[in-house]
Amino acid sequence: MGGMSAIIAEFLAESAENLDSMDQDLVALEKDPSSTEVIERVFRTIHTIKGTCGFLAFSKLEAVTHSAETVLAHLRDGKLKLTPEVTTTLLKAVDSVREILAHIGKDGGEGDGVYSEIEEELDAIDRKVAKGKKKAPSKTAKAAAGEDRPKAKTPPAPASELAEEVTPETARRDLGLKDPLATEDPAPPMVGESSLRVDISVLDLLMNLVGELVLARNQISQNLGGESTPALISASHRLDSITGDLQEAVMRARMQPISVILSTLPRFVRDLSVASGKEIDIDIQGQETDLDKSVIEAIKTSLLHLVRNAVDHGIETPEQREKAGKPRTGKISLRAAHEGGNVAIEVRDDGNGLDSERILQRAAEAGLATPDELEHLTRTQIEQFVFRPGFSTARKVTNVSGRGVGLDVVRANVESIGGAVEMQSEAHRSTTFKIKIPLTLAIVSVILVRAGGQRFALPQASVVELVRLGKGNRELGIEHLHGVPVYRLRGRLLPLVALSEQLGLSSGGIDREESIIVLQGDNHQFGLLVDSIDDSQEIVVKPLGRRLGGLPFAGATILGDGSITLILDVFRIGLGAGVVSDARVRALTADSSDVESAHPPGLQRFLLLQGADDERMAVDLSRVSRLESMDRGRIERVGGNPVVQYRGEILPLIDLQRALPERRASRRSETAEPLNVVSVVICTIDGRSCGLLVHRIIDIVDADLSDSTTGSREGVRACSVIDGRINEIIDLAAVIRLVDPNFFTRDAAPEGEA
Amino acid sequence: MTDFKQYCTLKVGDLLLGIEVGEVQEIRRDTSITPVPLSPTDIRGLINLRGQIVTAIDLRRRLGLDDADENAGFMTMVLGTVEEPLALVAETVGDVVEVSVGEFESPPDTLKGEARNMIEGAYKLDRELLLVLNLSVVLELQESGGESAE
Repeated sequence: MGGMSAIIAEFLAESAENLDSMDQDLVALEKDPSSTEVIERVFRTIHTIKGTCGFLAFSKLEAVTHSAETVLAHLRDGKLKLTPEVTTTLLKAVDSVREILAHIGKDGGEGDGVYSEIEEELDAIDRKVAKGKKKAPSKTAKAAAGEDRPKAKTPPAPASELAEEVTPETARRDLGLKDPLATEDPAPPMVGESSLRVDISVLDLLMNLVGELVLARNQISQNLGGESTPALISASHRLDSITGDLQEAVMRARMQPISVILSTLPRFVRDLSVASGKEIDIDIQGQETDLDKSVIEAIKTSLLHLVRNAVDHGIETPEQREKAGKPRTGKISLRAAHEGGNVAIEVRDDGNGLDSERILQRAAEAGLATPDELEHLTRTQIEQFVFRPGFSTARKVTNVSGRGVGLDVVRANVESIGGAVEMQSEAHRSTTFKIKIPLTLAIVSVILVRAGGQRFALPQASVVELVRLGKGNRELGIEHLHGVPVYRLRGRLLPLVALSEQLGLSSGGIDREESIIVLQGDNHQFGLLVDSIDDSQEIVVKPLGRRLGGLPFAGATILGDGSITLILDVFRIGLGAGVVSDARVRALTADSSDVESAHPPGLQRFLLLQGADDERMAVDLSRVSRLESMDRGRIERVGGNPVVQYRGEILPLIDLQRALPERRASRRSETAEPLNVVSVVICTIDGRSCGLLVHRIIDIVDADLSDSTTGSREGVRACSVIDGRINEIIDLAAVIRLVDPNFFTRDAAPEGEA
Repeated sequence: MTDFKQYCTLKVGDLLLGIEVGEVQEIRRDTSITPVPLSPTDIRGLINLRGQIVTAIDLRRRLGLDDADENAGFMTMVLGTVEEPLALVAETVGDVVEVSVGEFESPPDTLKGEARNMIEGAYKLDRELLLVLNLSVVLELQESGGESAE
């Protein structure tokens, strides 16, 4: 009895794999019907199933596979041409087989499904072929398949409009064809032969053991003191490298090629495109990209969702495409590839793209942003709206914008495993979704931080950047907006969350060094205030007990010293602090426009500068994108003008003091005692960047300019008293024009905007 | 002919508690426990048990007793029969005692509160009572905080 069920289990597993590849093969065959190799493979699959189920006495399965086999035999022999209808019928047959197999897997029986319809469809094709041949009665056609019918069939149904023809080409092929029944050797080498099915729990156990081995190794290497003998040290090194290799090997054992999901897509797309009357080609690259099994499970539905979206909403109907001057057949391309420690999967369609006007309109209607805010949104920010829950559920929006069903769910799913989704769209041309996911869930890169005297781990995937405040800068950096701490990060206000406070830990002294970790939770960024940032590490995630669910921790890990560290769940931390649930766009996604809106009216923010003669100047902060200290040696000259290579671009520099018209020529030259490090204020104006070389940066202040006087020299907008001193408010555009009159008119305008 | 049962004893405050030896995997002292912020108060924290992370339940708080002196020592009893790794924290974990089943009595009706559910009954020892813990209630964690996990 046990032997029998083992045979059945084996049969089911094998058949499932074969059927999956058959799906693919049939779709491929539809594209290129001349591939005899593929036809044979399909034929063999069905034949094997039929043979085995005859042996195991599964009569329904046998009947369906028999009919399918007959049709396939005609295909193989060139008596039948593979039309979409035939493909559909065959795919339906595959589905029926799958259904029956599922039943067998569940309770050992074939279930009570009735499959006469599909059998009839298959037989109709068979009869059609037989009739088309005229001289060959159906009996002969069946004989051509090398099989006898196991049972009598229903009388012929009215012939469907099937195309069948025997071209000279197919006939020729017919002659050269080997009998697949006689050939036992599979033409392409089978992967299955060198692999072995292993229970996933065994792999999990291995993984755990290796994790412990790593810890034990760490403890040994930490305890190798001065009295250790060279032999012991070298043994420890060996242990070190072997453990590393072992860990990697076990990790690899858990890896599966992403083709597990991707290979189902051609069939999926075919079904969808037939249903929606669209013509779609799918192009898949990078099938061999390996991913941890758990990750594959986790992204499967998201990926299917994106592909469905592309078919449903992305690709237009053939008529629309023709009108738009595109080829009738739409194209969906999928690309999977390793990128650093991640896997990137790209789903691209050459459909209509996103209509940002519509999205904006909807966003305004849904109250996601004020009209004022909407005006300042970049295209990328606009596209972010489709990931919002509100956008996906409302049907009307979906129909109008053409996108967005459940994209928020896709994002949530991907983010829950530490990944990220990006979208790019070119109006009327294409839409591209890019999923980035970690290779494995078992090992995670984290940053170790301290807060409230305890150590915590933060998944690096959610960390955007680290900002070190240092002791002195603390007051300068952190501001309060109606009692809520915020940090000004390159002109944007970043809400801050103190980790120790969030976790109910005492925050200890104020004088500790504090750092901000800028995190991406949901689609908002926020800053996590921690006492210190210690280290980054690769860790093995262990789940927390049942009673510790609902807490802002994603799990725990054991570090090299044996101590337990909790892994923070960034999303829940943000949720707890109320920074991610906020349904409004607000300060977090908007840029400079928000800096102003966040301040009391009348007040403006300025960056205070000190000149070489101790005079004060102020620059409108909304123009400032970054403050940098640079080595004077980095400054180069192009055509007499100072420039610096900055972030892969050439940034023109303007020496503020030299640029401004001189009033007291006498004192200027000797004051400039060249410092090795210069302060540069990077400004962006009309999408163009330039750097202001300044003597010293003093502070950021709010100032009311209502009682200022007009400036006394060119390049100065006004004079105002700020902080008890008279400040010249710099008119940035005018200063730039003084130095380079063509700055704003020169071509090669950068594409971005402020 | 009497049946005997063996209990591993724990001391919490003045209470002598017993857990059937079959339930106990091991007893540890001087374990470092990593506290879990925001966790229910009766969760003491996490223990590293040879690479496995074990949730430690503070038996004292679980039974609704006052907190012990902070510097008081503690011992942990790792339970072996429950699905997820759990440990109990008590002041001392002592000997194994063998009791006759006949000495068992249900708790008096006057015992109220949560403790009523957690204590199955008592064995009358020579000088004191051995309270038998109802592990499924003590660990069942059917408290408010427990169920929200995904």
